[in-house]
Amino acid sequence: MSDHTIKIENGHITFVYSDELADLMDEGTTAVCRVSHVEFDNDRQGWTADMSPVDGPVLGPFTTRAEGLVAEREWLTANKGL
Amino acid sequence: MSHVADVDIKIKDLEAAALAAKAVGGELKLGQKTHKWYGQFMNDWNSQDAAAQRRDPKTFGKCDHAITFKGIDYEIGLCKEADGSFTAVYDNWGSGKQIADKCGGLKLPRLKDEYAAAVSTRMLARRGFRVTRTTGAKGEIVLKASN
Repeated sequence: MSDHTIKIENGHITFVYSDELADLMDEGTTAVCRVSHVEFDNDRQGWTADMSPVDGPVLGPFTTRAEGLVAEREWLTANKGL
Repeated sequence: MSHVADVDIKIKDLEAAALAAKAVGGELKLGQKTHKWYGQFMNDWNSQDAAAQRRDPKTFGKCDHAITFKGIDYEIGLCKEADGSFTAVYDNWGSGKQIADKCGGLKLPRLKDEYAAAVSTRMLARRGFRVTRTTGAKGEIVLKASN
């Protein structure tokens, strides 16, 4: 089971990429960009989600990488509506 | 480590175009080869938005399909491009201003958004998703898909 949010504005379709939605990319000219860097921070001894590619903060540190990925998605939902 | 995809929509699916036309109060007329406009190129508008920047004025008024609106004299033409997509062309002078009003502005964003919603919903349904549509805080269309 999966859930996706697709935003449509000014003739643009925007969504967090998933192979399940790949067909939408055939509907026009597509640009794809990374929204974060989820890495282990050696200084902070935990996983962080650096949201700077979308003008966001560094989230974390988190104990697990999975927590960092969840935080990334929650931030995208709360701040970008995706 | 997500990626965001941004698709600048192109009109390719005429069934979705018909749904979009209906959503903005118009009707797609398949095979209508001309669309009503002022009828004479006056060469009096040269901004980047002017059709003359991209299209030969000799082709003005010609199209492959058209979108008509009850009570509005002018019409939108859908003109087929080399890649198979269609460009929406209209004369924004005179009654063309009413077309812009119905479609959200000069560049017809509401028509494009309704088209994008129609093609997206159709694709998601083909893939077995249940789709619900809402309107976001800035007026954007938001589709939630789940399966």
